[in-house]
Amino acid sequence: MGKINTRQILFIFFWIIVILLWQFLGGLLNSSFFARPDEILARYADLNFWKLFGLDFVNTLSRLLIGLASGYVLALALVFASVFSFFLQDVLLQLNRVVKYLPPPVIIPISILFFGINDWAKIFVVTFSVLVMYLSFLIEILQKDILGYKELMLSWKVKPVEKFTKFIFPVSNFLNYRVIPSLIIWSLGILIITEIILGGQFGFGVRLLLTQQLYQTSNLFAYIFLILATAFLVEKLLITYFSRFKKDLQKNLAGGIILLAVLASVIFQFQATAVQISSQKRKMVTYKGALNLPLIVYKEKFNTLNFDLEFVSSGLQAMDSLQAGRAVISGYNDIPNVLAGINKNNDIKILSQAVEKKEQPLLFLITTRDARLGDFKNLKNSKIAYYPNNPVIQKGLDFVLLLGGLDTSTVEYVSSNDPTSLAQSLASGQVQTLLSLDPYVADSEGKLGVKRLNDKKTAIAGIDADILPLAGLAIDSAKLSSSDQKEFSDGLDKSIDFIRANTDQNFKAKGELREILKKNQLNENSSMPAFEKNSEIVPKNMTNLINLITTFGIDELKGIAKDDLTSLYIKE
Amino acid sequence: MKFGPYSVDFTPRLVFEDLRFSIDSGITHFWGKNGTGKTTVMNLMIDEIKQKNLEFSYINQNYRSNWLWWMTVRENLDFACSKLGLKYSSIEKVPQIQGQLDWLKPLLEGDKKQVSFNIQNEFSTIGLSGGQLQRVILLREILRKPKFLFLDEAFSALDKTVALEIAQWLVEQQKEYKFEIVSIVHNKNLVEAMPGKIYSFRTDFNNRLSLETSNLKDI
Repeated sequence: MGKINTRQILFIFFWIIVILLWQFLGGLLNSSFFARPDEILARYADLNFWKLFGLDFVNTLSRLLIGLASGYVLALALVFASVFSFFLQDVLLQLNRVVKYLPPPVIIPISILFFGINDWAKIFVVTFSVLVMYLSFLIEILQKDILGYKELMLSWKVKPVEKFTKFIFPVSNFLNYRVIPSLIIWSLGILIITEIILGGQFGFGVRLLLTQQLYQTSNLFAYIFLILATAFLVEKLLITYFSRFKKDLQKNLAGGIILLAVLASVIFQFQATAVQISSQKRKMVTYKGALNLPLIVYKEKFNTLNFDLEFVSSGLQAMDSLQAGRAVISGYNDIPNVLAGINKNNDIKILSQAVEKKEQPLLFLITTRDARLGDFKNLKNSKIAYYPNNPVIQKGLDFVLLLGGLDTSTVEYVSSNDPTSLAQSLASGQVQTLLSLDPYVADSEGKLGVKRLNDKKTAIAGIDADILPLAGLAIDSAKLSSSDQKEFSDGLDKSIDFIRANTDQNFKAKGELREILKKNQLNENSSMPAFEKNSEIVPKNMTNLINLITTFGIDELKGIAKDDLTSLYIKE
Repeated sequence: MKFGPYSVDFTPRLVFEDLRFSIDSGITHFWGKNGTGKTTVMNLMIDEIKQKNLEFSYINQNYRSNWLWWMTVRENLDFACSKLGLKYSSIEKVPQIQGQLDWLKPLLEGDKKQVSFNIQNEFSTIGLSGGQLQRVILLREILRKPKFLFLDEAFSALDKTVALEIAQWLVEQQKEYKFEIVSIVHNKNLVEAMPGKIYSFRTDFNNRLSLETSNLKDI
């Protein structure tokens, strides 16, 4: 072992100081926003954390490797074809000049159109990204590294196929050391972005977003360090064994065999998942949030029809899946989304609703300013966040604030599909007022020591509605037989009864419901009793909502007929 | 073979019109100061040869661009043989190589490449010196038995003794295989070692090129 010199001691000392400072300063901050080293280490001691990480690792790595391999092979195939035709070579050059300026995430919507919201869409995005970048690299070799050999190729009468096998491929393979590391990190980045957007059950991106949304900050930090380690290891292994594969495999045969075995098992695991995904099992699609509790409970306890439950990242995507025929049940999505779906497809019907009632409010207004219900003047010039993110909620809120004496032209409204981020914005002072649901409101109350303004009265009283449907569970009635509809409806009723039976007076989960929430990584304090069973749905509740929608001119919903609102629902 | 007429106008660097000359004595030297147009004329000759679809080989001043650096010495030589349709069980069996094995053999062993990776996975240039590289390139090009061999300062990285040794070897090869060597050198000893026609390149005050045949003693 070499002698440790002063520089190395200073270096170690520096990092000890950094970690100590991190530990000390972290202790002064709210642990929901910043994790200390000891909290992160504690995560690594948890076996469940590793089980979940293993599943995420296998899923993300499979997508990454399949995408990398496909993009790599496609790029090589295109360049191989181009050596036979100058015309094709020119086309490729022109195409590359244009396509390399296309940021890969713009391909995500197209991948959804082509493949739907599933693993293949994610792989397609990675493949496209790798193809574009690797093709640029190969074209650079073609134009720069190989161009110097033009005279030699000519004097040697090198054939087109030899141009590829003796020049382009070996040179690119040799120079891969400078492109493959960037390619891996870059495509992993693109994949994580795609996973965050498309959602799903497992994957680094899915987990990162979930840990953020659920305030599992130490998990989030622990994951980031593991992703860093994973990227490092993947790069090292791929560089060592594949960028110069011929020689290195000879030298490190044992390591190569182990790596190939790992790769094979990863791909096998992925294929098993893919088969499961592409199987004929009918799907329920939703996004993770307390509002979707009945569906999650249904899947866990009453799933007699053996439906799959797939998580996407927003209500809009869930509704898209239903419209595109990739799912038979979608929910609970914001009502404007559901109505837009019904407007485009008459087979889509509402089966259940989450509603806001005067006597049982769900939406609460909380503010860091001095204000009280009915008198909102002090909220002048403030930034106001609202959730759920739909224009009807915004207009309703605007109306209520206006009635409370606030000149709403002085306020700025913000919203997102992520209620946790909005609650965090309130805590960090980026917004001064928040209209949202529990447990996000309760979290903010706990952290900021402020009270909700409308503890007893609903914030939507101002729009003259006793009951306001917030979100709906929609089904494709053409794809579910009436007996299946009945069976599902019964199961859903049982789920809602179960939620009600396991919810205390403060709308918090207890008993078995708490375990289900925990298992699905939902906040344990987020159970909601406000679901209406199929039999309790009263179409006239929708009237005020549709009036609001049409008043505020949401064009795509204008086709909804107000005179026969029963057509929106599954009739018993 | 007659070359030309060539005309070039690189005013103010170099100008010539209707330049004509012939190459027929086995070995031809282009002799002259730097910037008098030797490489330009050689490139024009190569263009003409390409149009006539004749076999040629060209070792230019940047001799490294003649070397397939991603291949080992053996692979480079094997590739040259394969282009000729020569089939030997190993490169050592090729008659022209047998006399060169004393210096070549160590390079053929151990898959020696011009470039390699060090332990940190970084790209580095090791394995072959510039002189060794130039010597193998000359050997490889002779193996290919071209009709024309263009050498543009192809001895620049070699020490005096080895350069003279190779020059004499080239003369032997030329006599045996009857190809034309066109060479640009700046060393009188090399011209002496490879006796042949000498074209002197001279430019006037307007950088207008004139070409004339010379004797060894005149240069």
